[in-house]
Amino acid sequence: MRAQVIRTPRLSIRWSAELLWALSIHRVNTRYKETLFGFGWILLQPIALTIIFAYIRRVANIPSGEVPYPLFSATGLCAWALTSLVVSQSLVCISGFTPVIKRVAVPKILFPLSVIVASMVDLCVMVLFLIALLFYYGTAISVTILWLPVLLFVHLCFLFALTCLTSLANVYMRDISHALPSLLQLWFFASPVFYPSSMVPEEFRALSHWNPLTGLIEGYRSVLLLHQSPSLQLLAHTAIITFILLGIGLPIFVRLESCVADAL
Amino acid sequence: MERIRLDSVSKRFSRGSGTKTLLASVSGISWFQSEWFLALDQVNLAIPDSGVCLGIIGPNGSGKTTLLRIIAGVTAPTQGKVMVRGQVVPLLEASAGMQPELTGRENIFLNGIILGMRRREIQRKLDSIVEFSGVDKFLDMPLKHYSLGMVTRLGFSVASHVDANILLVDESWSMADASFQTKSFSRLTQLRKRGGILLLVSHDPNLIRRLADQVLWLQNGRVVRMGPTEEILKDYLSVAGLP
Repeated sequence: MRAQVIRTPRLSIRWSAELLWALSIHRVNTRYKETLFGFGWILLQPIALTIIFAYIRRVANIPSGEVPYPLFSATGLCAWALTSLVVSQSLVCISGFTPVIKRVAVPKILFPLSVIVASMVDLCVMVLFLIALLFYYGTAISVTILWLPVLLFVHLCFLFALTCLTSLANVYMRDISHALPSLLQLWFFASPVFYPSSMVPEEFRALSHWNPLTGLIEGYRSVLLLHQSPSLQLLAHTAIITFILLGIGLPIFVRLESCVADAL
Repeated sequence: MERIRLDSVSKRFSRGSGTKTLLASVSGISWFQSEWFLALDQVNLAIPDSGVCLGIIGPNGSGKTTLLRIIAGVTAPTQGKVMVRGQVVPLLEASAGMQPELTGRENIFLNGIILGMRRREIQRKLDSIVEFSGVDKFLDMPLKHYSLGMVTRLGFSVASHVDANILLVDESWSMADASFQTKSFSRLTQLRKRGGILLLVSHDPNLIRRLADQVLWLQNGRVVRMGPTEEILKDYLSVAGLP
């Protein structure tokens, strides 16, 4: 005999939306609470790495075309900072709310979603930072910037799909919290963050196209620095990976909705 | 029609590693997991629609908390049929979800929403929540500077302001001082008079005597007996070797 549960009234959508908002605000509020620099920390990683790579570039001779190299790498580094920030926050986004999940019936999907919503703050700070850099280097902003919201949307969808999986994985397999720093480092060097994807050796090129960040970072560079439309072929790869991850992650999420509390 | 009805409800927990549990939970095939623990075994329970208080007693590990979690919808039963009509609010460990970095006020809003209230509703009840908790002087201070009793009071106050029909209660408020205990007592009585159902888990026979009309006695995940408070308590205490 299978279990059957009938509950009335059902969870309301509007309440879920309010809860999502409250969780996101809480996330933003507490992250830099009682720090001296507050939201300035969002830019610390991209700025520090931009300086480091400006130096490495002289050693390694990385081409960046007509684009000033700091601008070139800062674009990649901002996209990377957003990614790594969301992924590392996603790990504890469910397990961090253990006491709540163990006593109140809340839709678990709101926790990874709140990470994405909260990351909008970081995203805005980074976009403003990049635009300021563009002005500093006297690079004109063209209509192709209208592509930016599209790229950001794809980026956030991809991150959401990933977050669903990592947040659940950390409930059942704590290994992931040990593996993640190394995996992130690997991913960083495998992505065209501080080098152009045209530099990727021929034999790895097909593989690197399946890295969702390749299409995104190259896309950001096209629309912000080169005033061209992004490569739709590369973006299609990103979209396919996103759909695959969502196709795996969402059914698992639905399935585990009522089991997560037992495993925490 | 009953407010709460459980028909031969069982709940099985896995005791093995997380990976095996994950495989078993996702696939629905229990073969992946060999170590199981039966927390509830064929439990039947029906609570009619009226202001009643059901005390739940039993030794540690007898399934009391699991039963409340299933009623709260936190976890799903492995077998059986569960029917719950009405909003459930846990007054259990009412302070557990509190965030130490947030101020009292921020916690009232976050916790209120988590427990099922709407923002506007909390706004409306804010004064009453603060007054009841008695922490008005510390409202804009981070919770980490509160005493344990103050956190408990605030948690209880928020949870008891939710318009819920079913209240899950444990003794967590015993941490608060005597005057607050009296206050919360009358609050519970008041909520019950309004037609709420109280499910009270406690190891304190006196508390059960004061509040419960009926008692459910659980042991090893099974219902031993259910009936009028005095009768069940007498048998339970004699089995436990207490006067």
